Amino acid sequence: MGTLGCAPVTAGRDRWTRIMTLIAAHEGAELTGSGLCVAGAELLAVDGVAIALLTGDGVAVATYRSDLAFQPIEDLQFVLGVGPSLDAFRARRPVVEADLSEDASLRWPGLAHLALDAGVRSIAAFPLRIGAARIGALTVYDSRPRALEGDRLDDALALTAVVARTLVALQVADADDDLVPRLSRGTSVGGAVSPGEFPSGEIDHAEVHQASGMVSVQLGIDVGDALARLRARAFLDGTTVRAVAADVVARRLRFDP
Amino acid sequence: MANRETLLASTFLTLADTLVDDFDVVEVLGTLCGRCVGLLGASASGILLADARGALHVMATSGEQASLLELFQIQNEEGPCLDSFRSGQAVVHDDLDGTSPWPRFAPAARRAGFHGVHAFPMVVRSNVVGTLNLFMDEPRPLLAPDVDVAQALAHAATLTVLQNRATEDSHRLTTQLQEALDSRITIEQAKGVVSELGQVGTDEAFTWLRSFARSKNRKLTDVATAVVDRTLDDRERSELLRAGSTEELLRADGAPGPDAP
Repeated sequence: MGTLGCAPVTAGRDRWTRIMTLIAAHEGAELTGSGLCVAGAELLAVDGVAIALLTGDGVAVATYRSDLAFQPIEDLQFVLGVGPSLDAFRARRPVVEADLSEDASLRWPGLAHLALDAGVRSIAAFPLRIGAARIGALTVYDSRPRALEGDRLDDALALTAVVARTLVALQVADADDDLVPRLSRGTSVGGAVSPGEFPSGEIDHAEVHQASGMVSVQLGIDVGDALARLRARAFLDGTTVRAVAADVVARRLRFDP
Repeated sequence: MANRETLLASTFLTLADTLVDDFDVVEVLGTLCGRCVGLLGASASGILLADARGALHVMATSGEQASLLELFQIQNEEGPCLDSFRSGQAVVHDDLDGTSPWPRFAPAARRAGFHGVHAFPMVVRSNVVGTLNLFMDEPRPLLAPDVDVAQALAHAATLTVLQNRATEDSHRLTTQLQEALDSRITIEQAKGVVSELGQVGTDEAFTWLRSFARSKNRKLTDVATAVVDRTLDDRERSELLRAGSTEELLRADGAPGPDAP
């Protein structure tokens, strides 16, 4: 481990604050999928960042990117069903490809060539997840052949944690609305979702995760969707997700299909 | 009855053995918490790790009762763990009473039957990554040798997290911490799934998950992931739910405790 790079806790709070500040600066009053990508690209000092929302079997529900130049590569991954983003999503762990001109063409035939043609030399992909709940993948594109490592890797991991929680929060700002149009047209930060909400760690409470598991059985849905339902309920009832989760775990509240 | 030196040596030996193989970080830390209780005369113990924003999360405990988990959760606002995490120093508090410095935590801990509480920092170089927490059921001083043992166990917990090779790229501390935290979230989600399927409490669900993982020689986190993903087959699923009921039967066969159904 490097001597400078391994300060996640003392530097952690600063890192988190820096990420939230950047997102807030880019987003102004609205949170959008592409805005998150632009903020991410600036944070990591790379050419592009893309976010794909995926179903459990890896079908893209929506994709967002900081720069249109990377859209064909992002799209092709989901057409071919192979690529770093899908690998990261399926294996639930980061995939870092420092130089696509070396061996990536074996792993992802076709894709690496297209990426190189588009001027991409390195790619890193991260699963967007909350525990076992998989939301999608965040992919980093760069024209320079360099590994995402050190402090930038720590930044990318923290960014991934922020984005995963942001997506869950946006998904539930109101339950009847679809996540996709909501992210595309932007969501009012002044309303249910604000960058300031995430440092509070509302979602990261043991009972919230337990309740997500229980509701996923009650409704026969994915645990990530169950978390969204919990947040939606909290929003409608004007209470906190922790309070709703406590009711579920204590079996005072059931979700019926 | 083995003396403490023997127990301590065996704890570290077991740990050294475990860390060689592919191991489950939550499971090993849970075992370590159990040993803390035995070695230090504590009635409960737990290990908290910090996430990317410096919030503390329960990674493992000597028992999964909700009241105990809540005592750890409160400590994101105040408590010995937070103090130890922020200062990087051990916090030894022998007697929780009206003069204790934590207006929310202290009464909650007393209500749960604890009268002494101690926290020891988990340190990697100059970075505090988490804390080891001890709860005592009576107010009595923690002696200097106990403090040393507790701090040694906190170091052992740190090593466990650092040794976790759950992913290829776990050479980074941040990756290891995030991986460990995600493991724990997955286990909480799985506890919820099993608790709903089996109509039992979440603490009981944890016991079922752990029994099943042990009987199958599988990692707890892998089993939890399969439970949440619904990738266990029907036979495995009924075995998991039966693992719990078998354990209940075994307990009932022995001396039925006051909490036996």
